[in-house]
Amino acid sequence: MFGKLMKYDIKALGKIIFPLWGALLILGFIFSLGIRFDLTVASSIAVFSLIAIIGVIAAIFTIGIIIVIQRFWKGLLKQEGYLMFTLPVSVRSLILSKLFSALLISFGTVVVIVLLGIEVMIISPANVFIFDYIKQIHIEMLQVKYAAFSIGYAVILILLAMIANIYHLYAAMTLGQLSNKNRFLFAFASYIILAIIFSVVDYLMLNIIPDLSNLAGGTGSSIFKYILEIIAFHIVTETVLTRRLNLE
Amino acid sequence: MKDLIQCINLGKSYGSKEALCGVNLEIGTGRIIGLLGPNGSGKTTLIKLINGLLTPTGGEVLVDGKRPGIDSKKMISYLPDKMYFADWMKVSDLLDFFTDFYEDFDRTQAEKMFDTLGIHESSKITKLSKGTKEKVQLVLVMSRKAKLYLLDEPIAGVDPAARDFILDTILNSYNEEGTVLISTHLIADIEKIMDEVIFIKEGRILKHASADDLREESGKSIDALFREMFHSDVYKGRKA
Amino acid sequence: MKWYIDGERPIWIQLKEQLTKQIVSGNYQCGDRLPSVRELASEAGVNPNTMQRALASLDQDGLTMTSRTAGRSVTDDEERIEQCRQEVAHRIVKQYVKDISELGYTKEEAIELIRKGNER
Repeated sequence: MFGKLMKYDIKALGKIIFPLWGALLILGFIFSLGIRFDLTVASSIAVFSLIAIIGVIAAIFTIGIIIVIQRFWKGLLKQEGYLMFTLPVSVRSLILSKLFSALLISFGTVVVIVLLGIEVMIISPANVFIFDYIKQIHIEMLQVKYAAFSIGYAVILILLAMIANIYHLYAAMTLGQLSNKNRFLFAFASYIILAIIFSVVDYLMLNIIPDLSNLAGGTGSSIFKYILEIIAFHIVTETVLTRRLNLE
Repeated sequence: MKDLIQCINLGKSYGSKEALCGVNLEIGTGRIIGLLGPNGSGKTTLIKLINGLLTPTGGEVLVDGKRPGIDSKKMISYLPDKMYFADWMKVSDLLDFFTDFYEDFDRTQAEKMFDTLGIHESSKITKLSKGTKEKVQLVLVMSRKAKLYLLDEPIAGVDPAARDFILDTILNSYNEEGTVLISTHLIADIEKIMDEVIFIKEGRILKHASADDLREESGKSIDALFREMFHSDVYKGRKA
Repeated sequence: MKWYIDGERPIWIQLKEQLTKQIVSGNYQCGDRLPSVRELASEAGVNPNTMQRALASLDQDGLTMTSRTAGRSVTDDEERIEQCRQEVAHRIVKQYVKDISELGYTKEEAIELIRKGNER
């Protein structure tokens, strides 16, 4: 059943995000061609294209956040909730399918951005320059003692941060739906209150266990904080949706 | 025989407002039951408690001996008083969806009914008219061979032709071993198809009896009885 | 067949009356198989349980009979049907007499009215 839930979530997300991925790749192609055939102003177009592509990527991330919110809000807490919460599946599966499909789409976006980079490198004459730059980074990183470890560690950290942030939104929306008056405002307030609570918890934790911040290059406390947030937000979300579902 | 639905001192309040209070009910299998009461009498709350969309604040409700959960959701086919479609879906997506999630869904029957109604499977749900959307939802719900059908106000606000279609669909496609619980305040329309009635008022059950027995006793139609029972409410506060 | 059902009286009784009429008038012949409960219920737009009750009552009256293999059919006891037909006729006459006497007619005048009504 979980797989089936994922299938429909991905389908729903895909309708919005796939065209954007396509747009990104097409844009990358156009810009790369622009660089290639207009060599005299190559440097200025290179700068311009870089800014434009960064702009589109930023847009995708912004839209990504909106989609995460919209899929949960509309897909579970509004009228669609009448369909989803009467399916023979657990509330946990409903939440996790939303989370995993969001993660999968994020991962897909990263892949598309990498593809975009490769595309630009191959088509534009700037490739030599970029390859050199990457090589340089690579050498620098090898010089760092635990480079491979750091990269893996960074990936985990980013992943945890993403999950924690998505759950933060879920928990806030779940608390928001409890209100009969203004759900959106209530959700917004919940988001801020949850953020405040967790920064206080983070601060206290650092004071109680000062060694934590020295772990893993000073990010130990972050990992700990994210895991704590994920667990807490999940419990809030699942409990409230199970016991206090309040569909309009 | 074990009751299909059992409510034991069931209650639900929202804050200080009591929507349902001390409800004791036993509902058996294989019948069509009218859940009759004016707007705001607790019909929807009772239905949502049975299908697990709400959690009781007092007492409990058992479906086939168990509290609402995954098992009860497998055997309940629910028609809410709202549209619940995702806006990206086509009719065919919904057929897939129901086939995927409900083992008792009879896809062939649903397809046949869509065909009869002239509803194309390739149509986007959002492009359909309100009346057609309602029909799509009803066809999907009634094409399940469920043990329990919970229909919340299926005939409110539809024209007579649509109403006849809805009643025919309910009568012709429900699983005969199953029970159909129809909530409505339009009694005359379902007068002929129900064999039991439950009168509900201000969150309490006033009466639960066989429809024909009530007619025999009173010499009146259920509609007339309902009007009598709720007459004072209708005019309450309206006098100048 | 056409069904006329109102909500004022128990529906199963109305169904039974109309089925009886079909049988005694010969629309359903001796030994004819009746449609299934579900078909009849759907045709009349009533609950199958209610239709079942009406049919069971016909069984009890000996107008129909149910066999496990052939379903439900009209009895082949012609005498029983005739007897029923007379009962129905008697009921109609009684009702007529009651209605017409309420209008102040005597029995003889009532009979005369029937004759005239037929000629007209």
